[in-house]
Amino acid sequence: MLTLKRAFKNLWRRRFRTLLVSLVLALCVAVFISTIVGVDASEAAATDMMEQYRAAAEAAVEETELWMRAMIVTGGAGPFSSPPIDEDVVDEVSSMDNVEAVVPMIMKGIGQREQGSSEGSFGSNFEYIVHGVPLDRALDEQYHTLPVNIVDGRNLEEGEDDAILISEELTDYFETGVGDMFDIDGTELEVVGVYSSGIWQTDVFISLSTAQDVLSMEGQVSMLAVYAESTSALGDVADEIDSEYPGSMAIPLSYVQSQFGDVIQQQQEEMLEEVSNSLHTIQNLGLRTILVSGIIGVLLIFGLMFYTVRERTKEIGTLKALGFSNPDIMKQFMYEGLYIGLIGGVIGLAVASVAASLFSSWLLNPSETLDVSVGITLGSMLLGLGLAVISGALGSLYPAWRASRISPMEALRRE
Amino acid sequence: MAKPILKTIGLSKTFETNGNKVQALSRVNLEVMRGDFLAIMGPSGSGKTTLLTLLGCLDKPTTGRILLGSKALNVTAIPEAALYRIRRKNVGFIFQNFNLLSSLTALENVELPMEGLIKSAKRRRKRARVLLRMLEMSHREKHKPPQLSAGEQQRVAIARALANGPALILADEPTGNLDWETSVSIVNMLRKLATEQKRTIIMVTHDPHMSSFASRKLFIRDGKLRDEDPVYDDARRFSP
Repeated sequence: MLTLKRAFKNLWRRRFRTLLVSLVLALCVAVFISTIVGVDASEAAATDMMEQYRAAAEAAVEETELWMRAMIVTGGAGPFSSPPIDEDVVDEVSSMDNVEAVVPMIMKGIGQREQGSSEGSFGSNFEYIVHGVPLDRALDEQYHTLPVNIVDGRNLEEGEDDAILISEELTDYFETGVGDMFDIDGTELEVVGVYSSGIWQTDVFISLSTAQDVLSMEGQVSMLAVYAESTSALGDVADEIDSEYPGSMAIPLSYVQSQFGDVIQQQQEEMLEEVSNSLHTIQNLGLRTILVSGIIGVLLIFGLMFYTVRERTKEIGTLKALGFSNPDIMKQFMYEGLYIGLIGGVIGLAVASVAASLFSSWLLNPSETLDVSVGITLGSMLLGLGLAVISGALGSLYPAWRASRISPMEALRRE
Repeated sequence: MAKPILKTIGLSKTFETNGNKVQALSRVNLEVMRGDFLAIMGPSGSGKTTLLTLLGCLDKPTTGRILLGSKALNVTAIPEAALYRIRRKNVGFIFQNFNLLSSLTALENVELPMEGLIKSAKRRRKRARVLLRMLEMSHREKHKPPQLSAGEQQRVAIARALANGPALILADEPTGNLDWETSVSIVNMLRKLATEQKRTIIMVTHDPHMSSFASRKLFIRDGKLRDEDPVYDDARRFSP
């Protein structure tokens, strides 16, 4: 009879005990697999987020050149309190020397934030700020009139008058999202996309014409973004606007950049650090969980096999009397340990395949910084099975060796 | 002149427990011929089982030699790690508590010692069936030990002891856990094996009646083997 078959029969004879140990081992395996896939998914999510932040930072650097030759023109002091600008001014300024382009915009604060809630954009108290921008793809591609970091849904499209793009912060504030209707002074617009907040923390973007309708600003805009042909010509353009439109105010974007560029950079650095810290914590926790589950697995089998060897000392003596060698005895107990490891491993795989996601979030408690979706891979399954089998082998090694060294005479005397 | 199948020369065994030396066997000289059914009698702690474990190569003597088989192989010179081969091929054990593996059927228990010697599973199974038939246990071959009576278990154990056709069968109180009728049947079976199949059997017992089935009797007391023992002689004299 093969040693393997005998090992299986021995386990079957003590099936309740075998099953109990296998189940605990299975739990260790499931925890092990869940941890691996959880850490993997967290790493992937962190890498994605870091890539996004880096791309945003790079885009900001690229924009700097554009900002150096741009200015914002308002009808007076301050973006929210200035008198509106007549829309005809757009063509007039466009025809000035050294002007490359003029983008008319509306920017208006709506509502008041409740005390204790987070600040609006630029430290304002507005619930949100409406941006009305021309939905012109060519204009957007060249002068970035719309936010770029879309995290849900899509961006506004050319000629879209009944749609709105909102910041991520506002989805929480108003408990709304893509597909919902967003009400601005009684006009409902469909939320088609959500962008990652950045400097426009509490802002919404709609088409310029819709903004004019909704905010009763027909034929008017609240500001112009004026782009000079070169950085050196920016001063001349500003002077000409000042002389043509007394009372207006031209603010170079390089000034705005100097005010908010650092904030953006700091925000990105903070977010990168937060992601990196979260990942580091998850990796550390994962490593500890993996180690603990491995140690528990080995100790479990060690305990069982040690007890089994003590319990079956007489059987060992009998086998030796029948002519079984020390390696034969050792092999049999090793096989028993490996069987339990294998059974535990297979049950563990089944448990992990249905509960990996639950276990993973329970064990690693991924911070909200990382949006983690856990999926079992063939590699993690093989690793889990490997852990179970290695636990079986390591845990039964010493008890099996001890069994093989028992003196047959002493063993046979044991009752 | 026939050669002995087993010979011991000056066999001694000393155990050391808690710093005290205990002489379990003292200069035992023994010759057993092929087909002998030898009964060794003695009280508890006299050294019966120690002698049996030395003869069965389960332990090594402190001094002395054991020559086994027709070629008088000196088994005391064989390293302990290699003694399992001698046990497997040359010695069959029968225990007082039968020592069958309870996870295996009667048939599988009989096959067990053949594992290292007969490679073919079919041949092992065939031989195990022959042995069980010989011991009138064919009808119980698929039963596991807990499903068998004590007498049946001992018969399976005898079949297992015969599995590899050993030169020597050692029986340690084989009737110790059996009722009188079954004991007689088992000892008769052992005698039959000796007389009809020329198996050499050494049986340790303290039951004078069971020893009367043997072809030869020896006594052991305080580790010394002798042909006669006054206590057992008196016991026999006064028994009804």
